[in-house]
Amino acid sequence: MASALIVLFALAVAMAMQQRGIASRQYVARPAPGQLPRPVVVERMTELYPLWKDSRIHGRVVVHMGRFLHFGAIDENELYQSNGRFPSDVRDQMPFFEGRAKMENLLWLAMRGGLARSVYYVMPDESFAMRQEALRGVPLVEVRREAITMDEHGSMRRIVRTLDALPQGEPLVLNVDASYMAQSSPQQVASMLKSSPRAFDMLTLCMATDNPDVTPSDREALRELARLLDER
Amino acid sequence: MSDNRKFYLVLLAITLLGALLRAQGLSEQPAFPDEVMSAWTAENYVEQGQFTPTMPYHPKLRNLLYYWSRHTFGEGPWSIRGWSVMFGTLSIPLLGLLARMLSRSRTVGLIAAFLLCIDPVHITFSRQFIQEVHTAFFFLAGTVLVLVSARGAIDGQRVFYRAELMLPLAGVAFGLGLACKAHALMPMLVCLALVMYLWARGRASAPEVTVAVLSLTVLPVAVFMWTYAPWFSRGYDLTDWVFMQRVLAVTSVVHQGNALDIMVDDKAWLWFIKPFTEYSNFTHRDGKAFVTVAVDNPLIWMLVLPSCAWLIYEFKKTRDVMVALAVGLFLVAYLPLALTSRPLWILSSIAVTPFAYVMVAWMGASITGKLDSGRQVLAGYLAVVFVASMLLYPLCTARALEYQYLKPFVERLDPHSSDILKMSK
Repeated sequence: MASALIVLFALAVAMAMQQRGIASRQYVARPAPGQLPRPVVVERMTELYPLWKDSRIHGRVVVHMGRFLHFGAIDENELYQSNGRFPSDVRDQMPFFEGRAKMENLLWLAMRGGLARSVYYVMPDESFAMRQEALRGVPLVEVRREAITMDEHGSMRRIVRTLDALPQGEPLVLNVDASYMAQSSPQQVASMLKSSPRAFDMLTLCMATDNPDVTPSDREALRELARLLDER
Repeated sequence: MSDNRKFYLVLLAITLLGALLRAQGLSEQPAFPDEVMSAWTAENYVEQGQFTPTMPYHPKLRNLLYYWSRHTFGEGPWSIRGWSVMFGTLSIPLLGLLARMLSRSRTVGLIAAFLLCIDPVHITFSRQFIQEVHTAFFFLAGTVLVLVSARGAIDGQRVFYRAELMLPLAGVAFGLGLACKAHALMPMLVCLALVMYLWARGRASAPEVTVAVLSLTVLPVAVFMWTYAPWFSRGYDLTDWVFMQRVLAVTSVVHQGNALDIMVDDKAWLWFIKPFTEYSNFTHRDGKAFVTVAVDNPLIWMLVLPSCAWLIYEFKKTRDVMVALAVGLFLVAYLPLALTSRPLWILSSIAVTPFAYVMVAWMGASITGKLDSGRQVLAGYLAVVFVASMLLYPLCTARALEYQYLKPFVERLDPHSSDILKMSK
């Protein structure tokens, strides 16, 4: 009897946690695979966070097509000064972090704010190869031929080269950054997106005007991509 | 009064002494940076499922406990530290019971409990919001429950005592221990090995073994998983959980510590060889510096390895399963720490010292029991270790800088100590 109860308890816990996680994910829509949502164009990377937050996405896989990681952590040490005293004035940190959103930390902020449970980067071949070289041998980073896997306190971050390497089974949040266009043509990217079997319920095109490493021609290519995606 | 009643009365007295040493002046002890950040971490974890800002790779029960006590009793030193005081204090009678069952001697039980009661390292971290003390409580509880159930079988009676209650309770205790720190895994594995041994010897039935194995494997994992409920609320599923556990386990193994830690002792294999291994916490309040230094009592720690050797010798003579179990609990807990190459600080010794004190108590009681004036020798030794621990006590309570004779302990931490001493003037 006790043995059966233990097994039932364990199964109940596992099922409850699985269900809890899946039920926590919030989607904008449930599109069919291959159906692209109408893209939203933003000028700056920092516009993405309020856009995602206002769309109430939560616990999602966020896909960033671009050459940069945008995952610098925001320094929070000034919050923890207590001078040896109790109470320690604990409060919600998100307003502190959101007030410090920048291009360099936007995806970190998305994960810290619970919008993203994992982040995938789709990089052009040249950038991907460069990252492989730079990260090979770095502790806690797994570098393989088709993917580079890291984590942020146990939450997956993965760099891949193609949309086919993205997870299946649920709609994804996709941002195409102008930096991606430095190594790909608008036609190639449009074809890649339109033929992808993955489902996306939110699609943004970021002009990255807050990124000094993105050129005007990259942005022009992204505008062309926007026009191609609008052809339905 | 029966001997049994005397045992429990003395054990109670030792426990009360332990409570006093852990609670005295607790409100005056200022908040340490680790504690402040742990308070934020608890809030972040329960409200948002986040692991930061501190110790993100450690399990999460501590966060749940503090979140509950903070929202029930408010903020303040007792809300945050009360758990450590409670678990640290209750570990004392648990160790006494464990040592008594293993050695079949009330004297050994009381000595082991007393050694833990006055252990400066255990006192130090029973006064801070640190999960090592919590872990020890739970794995001691689990081990005691398994032994209460299995000791009849160990002694050849071929029956477990209330296996369907005791063993699942032990599993829950070990699960909560794993949810504090991975150190709980080691005594759990020893208990599992004990069950398999009894089964191989025909002293446990198939249903008893089944409930034991499930209680010491499936059940602790389920309890451990349940403590991650806030994290699952971030949208994760079971495959994500497995990924997270794997990467955080690797992180924990390769962790090299913080910059401030490089100037303190960090080799576990030296714990029972080199006296006065230490680790410190610093803070300041109103321009005054406060330092706690967790340091071993060498009059006890230097006897650990000799007592282990003595018990191994005893096992060769007697083939007593309880002797093997006592040695096994110590070695399985200690050897992985002693053999690791990564830095390890003395607070991790709390995963080992309860079992070490069983051995020291056992050797001490056995050897002095054969002497004509053995009781006096034993009493004298315990008095000396007590005095030594009391001389080290200000190091546990953040009052080290008030005592000149403790300067050498603080000055070892140069250059920080010079800054601290300037601040204290």
